[in-house]
Amino acid sequence: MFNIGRKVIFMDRVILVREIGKSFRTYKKEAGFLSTLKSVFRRDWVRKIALHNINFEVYKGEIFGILGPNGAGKSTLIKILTGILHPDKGFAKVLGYIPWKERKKLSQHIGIVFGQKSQLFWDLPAIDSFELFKEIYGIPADEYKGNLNSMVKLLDAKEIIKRPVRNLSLGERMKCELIVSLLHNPKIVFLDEPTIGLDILAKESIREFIRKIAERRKTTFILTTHDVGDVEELCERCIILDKGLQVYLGRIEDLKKYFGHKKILTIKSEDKIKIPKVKGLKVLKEERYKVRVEVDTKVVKIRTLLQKIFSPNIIDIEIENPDLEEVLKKIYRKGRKWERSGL
Amino acid sequence: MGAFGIIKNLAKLRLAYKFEFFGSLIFSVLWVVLLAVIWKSVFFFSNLESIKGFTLQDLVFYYIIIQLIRFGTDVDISYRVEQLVRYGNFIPLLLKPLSFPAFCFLDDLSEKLVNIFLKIIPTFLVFVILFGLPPFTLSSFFFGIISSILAYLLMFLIDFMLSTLIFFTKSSHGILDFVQTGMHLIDGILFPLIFLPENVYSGLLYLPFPYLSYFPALVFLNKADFLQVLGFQLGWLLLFLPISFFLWKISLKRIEGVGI
Repeated sequence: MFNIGRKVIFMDRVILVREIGKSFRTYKKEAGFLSTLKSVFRRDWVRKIALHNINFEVYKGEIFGILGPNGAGKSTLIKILTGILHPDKGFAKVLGYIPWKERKKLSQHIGIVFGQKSQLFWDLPAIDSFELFKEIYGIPADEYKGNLNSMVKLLDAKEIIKRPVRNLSLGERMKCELIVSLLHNPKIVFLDEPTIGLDILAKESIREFIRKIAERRKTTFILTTHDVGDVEELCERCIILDKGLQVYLGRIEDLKKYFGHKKILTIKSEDKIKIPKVKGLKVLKEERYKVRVEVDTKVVKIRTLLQKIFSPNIIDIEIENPDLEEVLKKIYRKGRKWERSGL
Repeated sequence: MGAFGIIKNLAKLRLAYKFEFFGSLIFSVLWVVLLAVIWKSVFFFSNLESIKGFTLQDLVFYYIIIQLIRFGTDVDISYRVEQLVRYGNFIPLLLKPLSFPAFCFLDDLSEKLVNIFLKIIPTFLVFVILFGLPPFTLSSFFFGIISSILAYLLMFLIDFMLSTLIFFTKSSHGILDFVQTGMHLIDGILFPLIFLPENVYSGLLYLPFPYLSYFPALVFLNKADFLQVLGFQLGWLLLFLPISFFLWKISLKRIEGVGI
């Protein structure tokens, strides 16, 4: 058994990645017309490392996050796991298949959703695209009908799937994209930015759907996203990449705990608050009657700080842990490597 | 996985663009009328009865048949693949249990099946009303159909080979335009190739392009030896089939190696 936080999951590993590395040859060019002209005849080729020694495992029914800033290597990793790209080194198995050697076999068991690209026919109702996918994946009629009905019910999409895709809102289209990716009962679904551009309600409905499918069908979801809300609400564990390096692998909760000695204090007062100059204190936001500061409790105790800024006119003090967004910002800025054991 | 089911569902997409069928019907009728008027002037001012065995009536029927053959054999896979790659919609198609070349073929076949009912038959009826029934015999009609099917397969393979260009160049639009324009100059769409100087014409016989439209049209009109045309078409198909597979294989290697 393997404990990944709230859930205890039997060791049913669906993805295994060991020492995966990938680099691309690309050319560099200075700005300007002359440089462009020169690059037509002679190019300065450089090798860019896209991924370096990546290691992780994903288990059945898990929602696993792949995080990282732009250019971190998230898409390259997804392409390797789906079999589109060959790694230069390392080894990976997805559902027992080596993706880049057995892509066609693997494709029968995986689904994909690209938030910024559609798999649906733009000018036809989504239901017509579903029918095409039924044929491509060879889904038996009963299974197709059952799957479609249950997902349409979960997403409240009965009317949506009958309208041409071009007339759907982004949220409605994303519901259809999710349905089409799950029609063939895939064991793993790769979600690339599934909530990009969606409003709060649409995001919530998509997240709720993903959660339910993972629970009911034990479908594994691999989620790449920039939306911290997606990760906090859906993922138990994640991997963080930065410039091709694996900078974190582990539980989201542990990630926050690592920064546990940092607290965010919000102080409200009836008159202007004077912030003392203390080591370990960083002002995040300062308004006339409200201040938000980050306190490093290893350097300065909260009690000491409050004594220093005590005023009879303070009306409220709120102490929070830093949110995941803050944590990620710090990791991206530092770009340092965390080993799980070091947490 | 049912090929027929896939074709049927892809055909629905084609049917979503009904206006396009109506437009191409009008355009093709106007094109043939225009060519008929031009050739009528040529015959009138040169006092000729026929040019290299083609009377004015033969020429009009030649252009009619060429138009109908093109509805069944024109392939634009290369442009579609270029669009898919440029706008990033190619990757999802690679992650299906159906191979990409097979998907392209079924997709194109669905278009051709729709074309039979919405382009070829209605346009043929309009041409019959305007110009009368072409001089088919039962056998020439039957052989013409077979030759047109082979022409379609040949055209599909040529266009598919061209479509792999995009995996080696960032944009293949310019090259595709150039190649396709060049191809149309020597595939018989603009004029019967026999009108070309004899040495040029003899040379062209050993290229695949006259077998895409020109010779299938002549087979319909009973002006070419069907077995000889069939032999050349099958020969080119047998040559292009492994080359297409090879090009797709190295394209795939490139995609898997450096991405797209």
